[in-house]
Amino acid sequence: MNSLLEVTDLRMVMPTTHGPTELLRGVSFTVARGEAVGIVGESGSGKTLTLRSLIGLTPRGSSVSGQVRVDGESVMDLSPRRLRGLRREQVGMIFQDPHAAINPVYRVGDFLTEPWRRSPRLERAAATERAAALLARVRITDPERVLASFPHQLSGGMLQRVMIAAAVMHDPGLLLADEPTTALDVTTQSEVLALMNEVRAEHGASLILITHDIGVVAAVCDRILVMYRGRVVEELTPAQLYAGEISEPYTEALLSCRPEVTRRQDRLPVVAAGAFDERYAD
Amino acid sequence: MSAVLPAGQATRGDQASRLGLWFFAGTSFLLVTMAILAPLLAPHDPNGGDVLQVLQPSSAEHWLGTDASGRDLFSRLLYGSRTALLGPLVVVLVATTAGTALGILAAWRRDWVDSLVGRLFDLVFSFPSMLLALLFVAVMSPGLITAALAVSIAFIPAIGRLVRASALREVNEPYVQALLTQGFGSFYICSRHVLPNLWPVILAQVTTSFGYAMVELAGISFLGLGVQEPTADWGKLIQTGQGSIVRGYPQESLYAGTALVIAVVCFISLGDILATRKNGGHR
Amino acid sequence: MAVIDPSVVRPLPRHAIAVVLDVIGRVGQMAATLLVASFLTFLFLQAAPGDPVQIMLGGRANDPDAVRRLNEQFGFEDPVLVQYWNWLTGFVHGDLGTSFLFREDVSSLVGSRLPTTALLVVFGSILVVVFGFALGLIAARSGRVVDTSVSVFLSIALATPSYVIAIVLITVFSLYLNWFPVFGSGDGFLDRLHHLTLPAITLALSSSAAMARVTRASIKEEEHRDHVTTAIARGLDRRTVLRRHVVRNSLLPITTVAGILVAALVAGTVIVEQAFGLDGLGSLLVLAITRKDYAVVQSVSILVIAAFLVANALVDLLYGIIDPRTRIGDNR
Repeated sequence: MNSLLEVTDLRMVMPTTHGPTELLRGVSFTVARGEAVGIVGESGSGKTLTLRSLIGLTPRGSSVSGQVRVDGESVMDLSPRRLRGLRREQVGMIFQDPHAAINPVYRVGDFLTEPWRRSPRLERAAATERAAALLARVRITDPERVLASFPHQLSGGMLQRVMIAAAVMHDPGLLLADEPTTALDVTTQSEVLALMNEVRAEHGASLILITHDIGVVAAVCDRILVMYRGRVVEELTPAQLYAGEISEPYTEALLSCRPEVTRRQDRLPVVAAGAFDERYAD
Repeated sequence: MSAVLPAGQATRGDQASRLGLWFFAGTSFLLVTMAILAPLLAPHDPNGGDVLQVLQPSSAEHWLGTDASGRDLFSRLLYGSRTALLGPLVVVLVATTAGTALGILAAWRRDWVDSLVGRLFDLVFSFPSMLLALLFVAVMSPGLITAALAVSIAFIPAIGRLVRASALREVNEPYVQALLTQGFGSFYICSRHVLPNLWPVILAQVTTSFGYAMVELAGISFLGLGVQEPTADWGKLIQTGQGSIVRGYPQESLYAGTALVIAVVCFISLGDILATRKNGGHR
Repeated sequence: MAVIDPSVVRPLPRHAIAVVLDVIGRVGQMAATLLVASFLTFLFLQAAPGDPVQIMLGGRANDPDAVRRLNEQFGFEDPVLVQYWNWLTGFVHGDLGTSFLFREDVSSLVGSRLPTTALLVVFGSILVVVFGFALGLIAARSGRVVDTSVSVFLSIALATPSYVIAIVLITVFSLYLNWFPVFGSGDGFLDRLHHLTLPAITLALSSSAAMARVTRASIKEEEHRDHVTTAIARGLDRRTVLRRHVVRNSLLPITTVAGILVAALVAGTVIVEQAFGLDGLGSLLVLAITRKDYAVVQSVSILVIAAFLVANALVDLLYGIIDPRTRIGDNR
């Protein structure tokens, strides 16, 4: 098994009063060790659902079929205990809005050391040291102050670093990032992205990055997946993207929606709601 | 996570609420009719007691039996609905008029008048409504109207705050500005334009308040400070029936209590449904 | 609970001063409200028809000496503001006036009746918090059937007034089952608890239902929050997630409502004490109103309002403990 992650024909159906709705319609892709893969697409294309399915975080009431293999193990067949172990040690997830994703009533230090309350059960001083070391890894210069702070006292950029620290805490082989920089300003964005790259390189972890910003994905990833309405419609490399070797019209449309500072446009192009439905109907 | 909004969900809730609307509106209507037609429907004089027929069980003559003074319970229950519904009606009329007026005034002025009204509301709110009612009754002699007035005062802040919140939204609408620039006076705009738009909200609140007022007023009568003997009233009946319970005859209190609960549930549920429908299916 | 070394936290003195100042501010506000309320109540009771001296003397109202003596003793001829001032200074010093009905000081009357009411309220509050929270938690975590049946039960409990509940409970548990006594407060602690069980349940039922509703809604809402997903994604087990993240965070709205409900219990004692024939402050108030013993009405009313305000203020203080974002002394 050379690939760290193998997703085969992932399907998700959610029952509604109108009848069952297909949320994921046969998503398949692989991620090699150390590789960075980006997923782009509009809202509702299933990017987040796919990412969450990788660690079994499927919405209540949905039925999922297909295969997801992490390091050869099928995620969907794992016992609850093994699944928790997977989430804790093999996969790390970074969320979009750190202020919403981190519990506001506990201090940052408590947030970081939470998994260490049980196994292994660490002493206070040891836990503090470890947490401080973690923060140093993500280039936070005054770890003591940050550890003692509450999330609302820290900036978005700082908190996102904390989230990254939490994600790499057990040196996972796979990092999942769901729009990690969308809530940040541009300068902080590049800092955080650079940090993610660094951290990744340290241990050769793979990365799956969701974003709606093609520029970001082209700068960071080795491969790009384009999703539309629950399916992967195209796979390409950044080089191919820049060279314009795009096979799918949807990808073209998506690209053209990105406004360029250098070119004057009277009207911004949009992708009409049902424009590509027929093409990608199952 | 992409939001999958089950659009079909709304229809099912809609159906249920329409069913509920008819059910509760119908029952309310029945209750009001019963109250109005009480003199025609009651088989006996509610205040006429036959000492020989004290605490009788249900019979052909007395459908629900008699009380400790030999009075027919069924007739007393029927007549009791009159005071039970009249009191809340007074409360609702007074509190809604005053509350709406104050609420719109506060929303329109938004200056020191608004603050003053707000402070007044806070002050009244700091008194538990039961206590306020009791103080009123302490000063004036006990009776239905006294109790109703007291409860009205206690309810004004609740209605006032709601109206103010809704009115604030209305007042910021462009059409109000348009009317102002056309030279219409504030009173005219408030009464002829803002107020009609607030009706649905007010109506829903009125119905719910009617139910809660029923509870408060029956409670005051239960304490002996509302409706006085020998008038029949559901709250009063619950109190007078207490003496009979110890002797093994809980009927008077239980029947009156049941009638009260049915009526209260009716009006409060009706008000809830009206409020939900007004918000387009969402609370 | 924290694994973090507490010596790292910001210097203590500054924070403590802010807290103390805040508490002083709140107490001041409460005192101001009480002052206004007591003055208004006093004025209001003055407006009552009937001469207090006449009421007190009853049959001996024709005796001019008696009339004069009473007027001097109670200062009924003094201007209203003076009378209020006398009452206020007396109240602050613990002299709550004299009840002509019972022929004793109001303070001793209150003292003898306070334990019953206090016990009732405490008993009821415990029921509300424990039972209401537990029921709400169960409803939030259970399947459709349990959840719906609990909801129906709650709706009925919420709509039924306390006096009706009292009647039903008395009929079922006292009359038919004979498990509890019908009236009275009992002697001795355990006997008292026995007597107060039905009253406490009556007092607490509606509030418990409200508490259960809020708990259920709060927990259900919190379950969907992002930080809960994060906790799950980090591999924490279900019980820890529930306890430390779902329930802990939903405590804020739950506590607010709990505070308001407990405050409402104070007002509810009036009806419950009357229904069960308990000798507490609530029944004292009703009796005093019926017989126009205004000294008692004034003092007891203020006590009730004070209890009400204190309960509400305690809720505000709890905020700071539960949600660090609202803590005083934080600058963000």
